[in-house]
Amino acid sequence: MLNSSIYCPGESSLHRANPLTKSTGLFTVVVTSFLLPPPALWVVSAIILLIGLACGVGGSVIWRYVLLSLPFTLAVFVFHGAILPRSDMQPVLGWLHYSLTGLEHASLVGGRISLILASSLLFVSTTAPATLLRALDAARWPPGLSFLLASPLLLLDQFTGRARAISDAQQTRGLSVDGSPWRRLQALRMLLVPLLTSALADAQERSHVLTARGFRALPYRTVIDPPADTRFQRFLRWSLAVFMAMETAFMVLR
Amino acid sequence: MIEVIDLHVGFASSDVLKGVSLRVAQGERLAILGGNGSGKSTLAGWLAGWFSGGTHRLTAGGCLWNGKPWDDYTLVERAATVQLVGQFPAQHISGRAFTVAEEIAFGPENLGLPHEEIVTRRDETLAACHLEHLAGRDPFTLSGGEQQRLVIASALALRPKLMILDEPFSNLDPEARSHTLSVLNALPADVSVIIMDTNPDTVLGWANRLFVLHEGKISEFGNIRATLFDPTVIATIGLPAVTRCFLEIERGSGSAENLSRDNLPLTFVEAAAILRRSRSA
Amino acid sequence: MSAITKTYFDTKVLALIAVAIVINIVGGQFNDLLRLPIFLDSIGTILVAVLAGPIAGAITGIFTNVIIGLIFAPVAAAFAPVALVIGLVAGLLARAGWFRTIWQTVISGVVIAAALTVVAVPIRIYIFGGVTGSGADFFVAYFSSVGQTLVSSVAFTVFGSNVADKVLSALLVWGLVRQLPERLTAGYDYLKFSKAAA
Ligand SMILES: Nc1ncnc2c1ncn2[C@@H]1O[C@H](COP(=O)(O)OP(=O)(O)OP(=O)(O)O)[C@@H](O)[C@H]1O
Ligand SMILES: [Mg+2]
Repeated sequence: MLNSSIYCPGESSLHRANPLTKSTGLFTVVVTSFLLPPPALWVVSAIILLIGLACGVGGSVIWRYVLLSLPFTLAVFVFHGAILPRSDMQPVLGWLHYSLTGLEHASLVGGRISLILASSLLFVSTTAPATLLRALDAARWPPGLSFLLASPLLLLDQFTGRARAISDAQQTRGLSVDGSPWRRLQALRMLLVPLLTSALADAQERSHVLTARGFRALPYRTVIDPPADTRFQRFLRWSLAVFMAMETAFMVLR
Repeated sequence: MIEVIDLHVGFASSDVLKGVSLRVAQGERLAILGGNGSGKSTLAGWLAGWFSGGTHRLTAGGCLWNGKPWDDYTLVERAATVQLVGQFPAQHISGRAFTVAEEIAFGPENLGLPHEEIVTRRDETLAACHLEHLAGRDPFTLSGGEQQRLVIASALALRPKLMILDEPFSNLDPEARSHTLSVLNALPADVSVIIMDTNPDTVLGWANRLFVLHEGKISEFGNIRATLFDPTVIATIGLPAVTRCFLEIERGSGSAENLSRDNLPLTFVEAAAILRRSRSA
Repeated sequence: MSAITKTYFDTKVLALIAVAIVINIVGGQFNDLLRLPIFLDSIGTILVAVLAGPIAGAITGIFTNVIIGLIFAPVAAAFAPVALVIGLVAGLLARAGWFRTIWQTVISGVVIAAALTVVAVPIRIYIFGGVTGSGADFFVAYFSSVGQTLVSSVAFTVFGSNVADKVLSALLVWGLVRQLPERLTAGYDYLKFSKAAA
């Protein structure tokens, strides 16, 4: 399943930027999205998609963006514009009504999601998970944190295969996956129990191995080839953090 | 030096080891043979200090490394001292590394070693274990035998003083077997190695000492030959394939030499020597 | 000499959380096969909560959504607080001994669904305007067109779509921990609170 993940390898400056800088940037965009008016939200979304194009990940980012945001955007416009009762409902045709404040609200909510989605997609499509984890380790975050992000990504394929093997095996042994809901629930149990049991056995054994290899023996780990960092990027991260704090204070005090 | 003193361990329902004592000096190469369920993996885990508490019950005795129990050492010291290569390689991959090279560097990185040291160890181990061509692969996509070699490599990268390998040859083809043995042979002379196995074929000719684990007890009958020809050992483990083959021939036709317990060949090398002698006679 | 670094979690619990996250993600796969009207995306979270407590459960929930966000759908990360609450509440219930009998477990499932509704509703309304772009929107639309407020429409929908899933997930976990051999559960501190009183 890693193959279907969003990351697209590349050489753009965004690919090369330190993942911590990129994630700080992403958080800043998310916080800022709660302060921008609707038109700005849509314009900035478009700019971010264009940046994606410039970084060579445009195709996959735009494709996923459309796939993920289209149903939502439609739903939010229909729901707020035409369904949710509001005081300024105007009739259009027969039973069809619309509300201007509803449409405005839809544009705000839809624009915000669009912006958050576009920027998250840009972040994940230009950041290899392995690089992100090296950056976290190099910044001396607790080793447990990078483990919890890395391990599931690595185990996913293995467990997907295992789940498939279990369901094939149980079905050849006569487990039926149709029938009444009650029968199907029984089937679910027959499938889940072996998967969970093997998962627990793995966890048990792996914890011994991790400890034996010195995992978390020290509160930090050395990272060979840490992602490049520059003084400018460090400065940028701090500035963005201060900016976010100011925005948050503004939203709270407003 | 590791010392096992009268180790009694087991699980809620059963005792597995009933008084095992063992002393392994620096640089010794040991093989411990035992049938399925004889307690090899259990002993291996206790030797490496993996078990304490939980379902693993210690009733008497213990293991000492240089006179102190494992609990007295820090995790860093332990990681740099003893490494256990488990029986099921897929479970012994850390699940933290995206590539084979990262997996090998994982241990040394955890110990906070200097950058250059880690790179040197990683590259040396990759080369020594013939894993260079796999360096960029996802560990979980390797074959069973490749994973077995990777787990051995990851353990070696920590430069332990004691290596314990639990049935390390089960997934390996004959070439990989002899290669793994040669990697173990190339370890510095002060490293002790213990291999657990179910049959004597691979470890004979490599081990300095041979032990048999049976019914919760460990025994060493003086020397390797005496051990292998002990009737209880023959009954549980069986003779080496080469020896069995010679006994068959012996029975069928008279051979040039008088073969007995003291000179029956145990390994291919010995067998070849005997055959050569009988040809020239 | 025994200067073992103090960490909040055992490495054992960390390894458990990692596989539980994978179970959360893979669980849906069985669902595709069986076509049951449930999500099956928090079995791992509830399992961790019962074995290792509320904090571990909460962490399992958060990371599940963050990882889904990283590899499939970034929007999932917005619902991380919901997943957190599932793990947290399940862990607190387990601590209080509410995973001991089958009926307690059913009630626990309902309580978990109620608690997650409390967190999910504000997120859905404030950030997503009450819709998600999925089939559930039809229910929200229906409730609000028959005169419910937006908050109660979303709350009904969220609770209604979650209650069966959470009760079933809780029951599956309850059944599992009762039949697991001790060697797989040894060392998880919280299990004792869910053991049926002998
Ligand atoms: N965690 C456990 N809980 C309960 N019993 C166990 C556990 N692990 C092993 N046993 C039992 O202890 C005995 C010894 O097991 P062990 O795994 O050490 O044998 P082994 O010699 O390694 O066998 P094999 O050659 O099959 O690997 C067996 O009877 C086994 O069933
Ligand atoms: Mg074994």
